Amino acid sequence: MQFNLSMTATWTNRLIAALASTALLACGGESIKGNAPSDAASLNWPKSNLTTHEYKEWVTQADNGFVRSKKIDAITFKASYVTSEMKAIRSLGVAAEDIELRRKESELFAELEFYQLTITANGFQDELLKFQLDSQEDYQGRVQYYGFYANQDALLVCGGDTINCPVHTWERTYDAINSVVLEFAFPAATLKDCLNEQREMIYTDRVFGNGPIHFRF
Amino acid sequence: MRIFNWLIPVVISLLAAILIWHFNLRTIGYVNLEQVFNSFQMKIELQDTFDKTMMRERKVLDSLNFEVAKYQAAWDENRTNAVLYENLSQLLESAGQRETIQQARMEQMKLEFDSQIQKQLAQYLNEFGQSVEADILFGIMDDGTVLYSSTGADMTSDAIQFINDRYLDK
Repeated sequence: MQFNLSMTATWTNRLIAALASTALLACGGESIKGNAPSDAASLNWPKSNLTTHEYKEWVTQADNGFVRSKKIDAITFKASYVTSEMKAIRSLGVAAEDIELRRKESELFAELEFYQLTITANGFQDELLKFQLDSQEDYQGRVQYYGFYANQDALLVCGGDTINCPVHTWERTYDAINSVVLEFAFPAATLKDCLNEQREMIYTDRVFGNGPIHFRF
Repeated sequence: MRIFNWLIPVVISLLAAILIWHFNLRTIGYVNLEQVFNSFQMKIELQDTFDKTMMRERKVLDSLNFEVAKYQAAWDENRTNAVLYENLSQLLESAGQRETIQQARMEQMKLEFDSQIQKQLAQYLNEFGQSVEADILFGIMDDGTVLYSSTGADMTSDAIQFINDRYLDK
C-alpha cells in the first residue's frame, strides 16, 4: 500500500481521501464505449483486393481491432495500428487506387510497425498544447517534448518482449486541429518472433499527467 | 369541500407509492477503496518503478557515504593533512547535496504517480458504475462506514476486475 515506508500513512491517506471525495459517483449518463478485444492475427490480414476507400473504412472500423481508445479525465487517447498498406495509401494519395502500385509501395514500409496516437482534450477547441498550460515556457517544453522525446515514452510489448520506440513523428498542426497526432515506429525485425501475437502499445502520458496507458491490438 | 376529504389521502398515498417504487428501482452499491487501490495494476506497476528508482538512488548515495566514511577515518588519523580535509569537505558537501536532490526528486515522483493513479482509478470506477448500471456507487474505507448491506451491494471484487481490465485494455 505504500511507496515509501516513511510516507506510508500520509501518501496512502491522501490518495484514498482524494478518491473518497469522488466516491459518491453518480453513474448515470452515457454508457461506456469500449472497443471489442481484437484478434491480433487479423491485423496483418491482406486486404489488397479492397479499393482505397473500402480499405480506409475497414481499417477505421473499431470492431476490426485497429483502433483502441481511452478517455481519462478530460483527455481522450486514440491509438491506431497503421498497416503498411495504410502507409502506402497515405504516401501515394490518389495513385493508391492502383492496387498493384499500392501493394508495391506498402513493401517499403514493411520494415517498421507503425502506431498512431491521437490525443484530444474533450471540449477544448484551441491547440491542444495550450490545454491546462501554466506558462509560455511550459508551452515550449511541450513543443520540445512532442518534437523530440515522445518516443522515449512509447513501448511495444509482444510475446514477452518489450521494445523501445527508436523514432517517432509529430504532425505539427498549430491551431489547425485541436489534437496532438504522434506516430511511433518500431523495427519489425525485433518483432519477428511474435508475428501473430497480440501487441500491447504502452504510452506514458507525462504532459497531462495520466501516466501509462495501455492499448491492446 | 367533501371531495378534499378523500382526494388528499389518495394523492398522498399515490405519491408515497411512486417514491417507494422509484427508490426500489435504484441500484446502490459500494466498493472498498483500499482494496481496490491495493489491487489496481497501475498502482502495483508504479510502486515497483518507484521502489526500483529509490533503490538505485540509495545505492549511489551509499557509495558516496562509504567514500565519506573512508576519508573521515583517514582524517581522524591525520588531522594535519590539508588536502585530506579539503577532499573530505567536498565529499560531505556533495553527499549532502545529492541526498537533498534525491529526496526532492523522489517526492516529486511520488506526487506525479499519486495524481496519475488517482486520475485513472477515478475514471475506471466511474465507468464501472456505468457498466453495472448503478445509480450511486459509494467508496468505503476498511474501518467501515457501511453498517449493513446485502451481499450484492459489495461490488469490490467486480470493480477490481473491471478497473484492471480497463487499465490493461483487455
